[in-house]
Amino acid sequence: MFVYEKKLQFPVKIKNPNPKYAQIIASQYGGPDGELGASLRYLSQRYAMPYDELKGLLTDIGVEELGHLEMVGTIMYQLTRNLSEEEIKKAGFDAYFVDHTTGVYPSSAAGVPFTAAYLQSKGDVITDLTENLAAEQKARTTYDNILRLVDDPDVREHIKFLREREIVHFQRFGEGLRLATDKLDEKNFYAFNPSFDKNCIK
Amino acid sequence: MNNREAMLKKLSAHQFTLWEMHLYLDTHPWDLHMVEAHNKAAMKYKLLRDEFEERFCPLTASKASGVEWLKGPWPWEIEECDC
Repeated sequence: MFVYEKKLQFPVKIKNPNPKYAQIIASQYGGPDGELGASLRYLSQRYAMPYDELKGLLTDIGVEELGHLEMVGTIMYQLTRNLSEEEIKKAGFDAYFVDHTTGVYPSSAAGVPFTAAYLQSKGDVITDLTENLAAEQKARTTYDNILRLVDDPDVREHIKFLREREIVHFQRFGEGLRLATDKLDEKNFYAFNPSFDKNCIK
Repeated sequence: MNNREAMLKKLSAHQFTLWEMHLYLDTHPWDLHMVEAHNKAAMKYKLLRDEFEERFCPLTASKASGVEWLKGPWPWEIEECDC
């Protein structure tokens, strides 16, 4: 089960609202490489993990991603507070506003709603961990792109933190993949699928 | 930054240190040196969390209900107040 802790992983306090930034950063809430997809990906894949280290790793990183989802939602919320209609129009936030007002909704920066098609749960430990390595790098690139577009230091501080987490998770998933292959047939990692062919695991 | 925010930041920093060690231990469970460092940091974090909850507000639903649990600011809010 999950127990809520009434705090953010890294407290957020953004002084200056900026709806344009909110629209860009929305992609890390519900976009193709965002935190919602990340958390669902790892928390769904973990059932197929054949080794305890990997069950723990996917559970822990999946839970941390939910914490990141909360941080990104908070950034969007704080960037869109106390807006006038004029500011909304000027920033080009009107397209988002007409459908969601200033509510936090999972979609990409271009307005495409979140879909589970952004993630895969393949039931194969090598395949899933390899997807996760790519997912962390795709999220890291997205945060790099956000950093190219956002000047406000209050916002950048948190985007930089989230970007760094992608790199740490990439490292841990790499170690997880190594750990898995070390336990498999060294001449042919693909001889069987340890997530499915349970009788092949010693 | 008021007292609550300052202490929350400190608490989050300690929790983050602890979490980094926790994730490392998922893929290096045999590293007893890190296990020891983790347990030390966990004790320090627990003391700090107890102090925060005593001074400001409970952090989990099992520790408070009703008015005490509902009182803001919630994590996404930035109103200046000593909750």
